[in-house]
Amino acid sequence: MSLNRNMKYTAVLLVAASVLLALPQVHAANLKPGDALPALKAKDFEGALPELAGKVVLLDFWASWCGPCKASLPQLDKLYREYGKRGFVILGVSVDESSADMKAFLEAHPVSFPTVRDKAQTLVGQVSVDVMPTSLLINREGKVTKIHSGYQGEKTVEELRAEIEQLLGAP
Amino acid sequence: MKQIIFYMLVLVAVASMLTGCKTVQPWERGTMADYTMRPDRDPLTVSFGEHIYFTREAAAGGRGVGGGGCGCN
Repeated sequence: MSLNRNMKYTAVLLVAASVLLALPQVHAANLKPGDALPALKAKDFEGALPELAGKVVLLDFWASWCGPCKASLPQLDKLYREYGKRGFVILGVSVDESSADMKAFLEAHPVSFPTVRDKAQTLVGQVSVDVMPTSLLINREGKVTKIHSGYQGEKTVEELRAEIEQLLGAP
Repeated sequence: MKQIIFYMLVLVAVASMLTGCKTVQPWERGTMADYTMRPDRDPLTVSFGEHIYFTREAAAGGRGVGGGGCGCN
């Protein structure tokens, strides 16, 4: 077969384009400490958003199918009950595709902090978490101060406790 | 000319198939984490497999990793 020059260029371009499109998408967290939290009210959530303005917020992405999330939620609930009165709030964001899965999980593992479901997974996609669970600590000015990827038991809890106390200031 | 068109069509077909590749993001792994995705969900199948490994290769055990495919943490 003899391809003329234009055909050759077209063929090379096609192959290059297909290989580029097929490459795994490079995964990088979009949010980093210092960034402002995206506007939550514009997102399509199932469940009511609590008042977050002026509060220290822990935004926790979890899912009913995620084992470490099951371990982390009771510990986060303890932190919420401990620091809630001082202006600390946890917002659980379920990334479950099914509302029934989230509800069944919460019935079996109830938490006292507010939880919403990111129905179209827009917020989690915007934040682009690396692992599940991931939690973002946000200061009173609405800026992300720390991103916790994964849950490492007591180590994560102690880190969170220290960071929350620092953000809340003196009681 | 027909040959060229044929090869171009093959290229386009391959290109369109390659674009179907997708990275499953960490928050999209609910299906992969399902119980049915566990290779050890059926004890009988596991014991058959173990028997084959043992009789053919004198190997046993080594199936220590639990959990589904969520890749959490």
